[in-house]
Amino acid sequence: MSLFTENMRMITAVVIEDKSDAVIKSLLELGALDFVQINNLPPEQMARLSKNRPNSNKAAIEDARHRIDNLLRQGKRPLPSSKMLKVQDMNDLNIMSYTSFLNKFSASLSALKDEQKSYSQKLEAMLEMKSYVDENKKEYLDIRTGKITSNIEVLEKRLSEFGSLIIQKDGIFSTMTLSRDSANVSQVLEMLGWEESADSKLQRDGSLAVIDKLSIEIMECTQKKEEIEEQVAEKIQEQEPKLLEMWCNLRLHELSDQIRSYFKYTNNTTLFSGWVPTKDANKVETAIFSATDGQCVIDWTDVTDSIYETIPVAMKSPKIFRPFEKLVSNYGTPEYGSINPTPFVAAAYLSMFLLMFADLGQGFILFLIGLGMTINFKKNPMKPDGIINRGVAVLMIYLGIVSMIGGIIFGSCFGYPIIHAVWFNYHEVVQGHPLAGTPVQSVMDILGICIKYGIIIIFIGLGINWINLLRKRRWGEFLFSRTGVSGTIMYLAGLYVAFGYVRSGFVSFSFNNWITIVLISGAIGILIKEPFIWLTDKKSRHGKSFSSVVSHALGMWIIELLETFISYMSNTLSFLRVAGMGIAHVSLMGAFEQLSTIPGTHTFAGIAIFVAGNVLVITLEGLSAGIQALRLNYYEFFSKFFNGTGIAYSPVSLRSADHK
Amino acid sequence: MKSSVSTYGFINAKLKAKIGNIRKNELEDSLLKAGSLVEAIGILREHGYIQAADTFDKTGDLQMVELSLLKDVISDYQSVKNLTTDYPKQLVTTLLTKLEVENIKNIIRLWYSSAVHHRPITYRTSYLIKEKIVNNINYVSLINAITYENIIDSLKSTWYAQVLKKFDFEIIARDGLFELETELDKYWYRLYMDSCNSLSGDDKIVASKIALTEINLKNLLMLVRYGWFHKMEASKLANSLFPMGNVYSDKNTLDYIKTTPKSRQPELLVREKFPILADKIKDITNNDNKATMINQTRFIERFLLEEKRKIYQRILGGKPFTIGIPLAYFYYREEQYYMICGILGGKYYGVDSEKIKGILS
Repeated sequence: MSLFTENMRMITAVVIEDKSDAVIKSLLELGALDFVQINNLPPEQMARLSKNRPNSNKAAIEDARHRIDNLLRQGKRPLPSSKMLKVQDMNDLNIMSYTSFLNKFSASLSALKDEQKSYSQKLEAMLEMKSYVDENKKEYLDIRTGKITSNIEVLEKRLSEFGSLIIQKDGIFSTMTLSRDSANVSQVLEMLGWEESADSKLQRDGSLAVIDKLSIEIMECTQKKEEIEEQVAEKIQEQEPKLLEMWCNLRLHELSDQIRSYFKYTNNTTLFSGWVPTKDANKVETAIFSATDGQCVIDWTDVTDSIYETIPVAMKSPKIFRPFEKLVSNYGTPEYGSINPTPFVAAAYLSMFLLMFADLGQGFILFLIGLGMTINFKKNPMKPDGIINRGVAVLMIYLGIVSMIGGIIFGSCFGYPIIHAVWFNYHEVVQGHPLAGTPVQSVMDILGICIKYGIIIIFIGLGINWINLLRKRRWGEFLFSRTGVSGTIMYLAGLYVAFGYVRSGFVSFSFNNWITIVLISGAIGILIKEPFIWLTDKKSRHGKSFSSVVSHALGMWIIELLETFISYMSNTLSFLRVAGMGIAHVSLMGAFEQLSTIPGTHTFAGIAIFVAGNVLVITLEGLSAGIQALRLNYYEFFSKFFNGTGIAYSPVSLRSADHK
Repeated sequence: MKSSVSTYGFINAKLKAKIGNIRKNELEDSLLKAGSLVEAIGILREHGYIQAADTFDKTGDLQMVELSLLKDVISDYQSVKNLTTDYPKQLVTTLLTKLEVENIKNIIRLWYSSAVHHRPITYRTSYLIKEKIVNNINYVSLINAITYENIIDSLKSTWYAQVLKKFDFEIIARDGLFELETELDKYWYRLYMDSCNSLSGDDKIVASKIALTEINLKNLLMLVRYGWFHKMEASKLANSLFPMGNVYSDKNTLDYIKTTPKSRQPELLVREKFPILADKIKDITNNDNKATMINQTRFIERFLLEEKRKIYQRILGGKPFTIGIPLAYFYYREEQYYMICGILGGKYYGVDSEKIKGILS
């Protein structure tokens, strides 16, 4: 793992056009090149390059791929992923034949669905009749027994549109339809020469027989309907290998076209350019070289200070920090060449959560929930991410673990101070009866610890900022900015005064001469920052005159000083929320504990209160602590060093995200 | 009394987010690209219409899918209703009643089809809603009605019976259901206006404005569709209008109705309110060619529907804590429902995507 963002190099290559397809395949497989558009060449050179070679129909490829997704989704099959892509499987693409196959396949499924529909309609009608039989609402049913002059086939055919049920025994027919169709049914029967039986026994037997048949027909229709549902799924499953093969080929062509869109052409050659992490430079060079049989020209450009903003930023953190990468990327991409903030964010976020939600039992529950959700997501790869996504599930495992550690440190388990505290017992301190001789005796001590903790976090942020600025040789910002030396010494002076005030029992400020000198030096530093940068860095001038820079600096000075003072003070005091959340956690659980032990409370009620209290605290406080820790990272920590102006490194690779 | 922020703060934030999702049009684009109904259902599943997709898996029946989607819409109305209180709740209930009115109309249409045209209706009753929407209606008895009196009897505990009593089997068999349905709609619009008038402050202004705009546009559509395209006679046309809004009381409307059916000119009717539309249809509405008339009627209808859409767009950009947002949500939700049904229907019959898009727009 590198502490900094990865070093990058820019490659510009010219290859023989005949070999460009082979180059595309090699680069796609390697997946290390973040392409840039070649459009900054001098006009006369640009004029010699032709436009991009016409691509295949991008929209048609994407549509066909999505059609496959939809068919697989309908078959409840897992959707294909980029993990299945292999460059060697890439074949020539005939989009017309793919479309034709998909059309035919879809049509065959539609035919099955039409058949299923007819069973479904019949079933609905019979279920309606069955409900009237079961609920004894026979007035809605029209059951007849009698003879006709025609045969059963004709009768069935003519009555089928009424959802009828017909049985025949010894030349006697019994029919069941709905009363609402009686008039129309009578007309049909009349035409067939129906003669209603006057025999009451025959009528009764016929009625019972037709009711029996109703149940059988319902069973058969249900079975048929389900069979077709299975057939559809089986048909899709049968075609799954072909569909997946097509999907992969389409996706590979999509990616190839994406690479090709960065290419420029002369008569015989292809030109492209892009950024590569330095560690992969040799691999890329070798890949191009072997794909072209050496018929290529490769030129490497090293990074210079001037183009920091245009260089893509790759951050490689160990797998253990993966959930925290998302927290960083949600905020922005750091500038190229900066320290990778992910490990620091991980440490800061987890330690903040530990201080706010320290409980062995509740942490364990959080851990189990996170673990359960992670396993569930792994078992159901198709399950879409909701508010709780895969990243959050893993994060909950981490939070559960640190919460458990916090519980051991502060002696809390399910809101009860029942375990021995390694450091001090949070419950005893908050409830005002701390153990004598322990380092923390009051709530004020807890507040003090959190403020000190906040100061450490702020200094880590400032330290990261100093290293970043020194590496980029931004002397002006390093020496004179609010988060550089000037701001830091002012902050130190402020801390000295504040701690002196606390030490005096909130009576007097320890304001020495040297404090004044430090503050004035810092203030002057902030004033001269912009003029200094103008004098030392010509590129930063952007056509501005020295006098305008000076007058702007003077004008902004007071505001800048005020902002420096306010931001450092508010950032530091903001960490009081860490103590606040911790105290609230203990107090809430204390309240539930008291409620559950009120004299006269039934044991069962006591347990219920205890469980409900824990559920409420885990849900609300857990969420609240997570959000507060995130907020402290984003506002108090990141504001000291994070420059979100970077561009994320995004190579075209087999693993590139699908663009839906 | 609750402030508008506490009344609508939560619900409107939730509905605005939902409206935002509906207006993204992602679903429409994806559905249009589907190669068949089966694929389109796969897209519905992806977009969270799990129940509708499962219904298709189990039945293969598009109309069952539509029923499932309609039930979703009703359930959405009911959720909003449960989140509101007092007069806003009453208004939402009235809006929900409109869906009940449409369901009742569908049931009566089926009965009409069977009783008057002697067509089998057994299978078609499966596509009706039989659960309670607003009123306690005995749907089993209603669906199984044989005579017109049976229908009235099944609805006797509701206001529908009052309206239906104005008609009898002979009238319906002779004149069809148009007038009966118009009467049901008129009654409902009166309920709607009453609910709007019960509101106070901004709610009353917004809801009344929407209601009157809708009534005006409906009346204009009636005047064009029936008065011009179908050349309905004056008394019938006058009776088909909803007796509210300024289109109804406008002098131009009266003149238009009085004019002999063949001489009616929609251009003069819309000139005052929609001069742009009047200019566009000026020359062509004199054309008596049937195909041209169909196209022009559709053109006018689309224009008026677009006007309605604009009203709701303005509401979304207006005051955030009024009944306007739930009303806009219902509008967009129903529009989405019709869009989905339209596309699924098109896919079922193999209609070209571009053509479906053209019909929907």
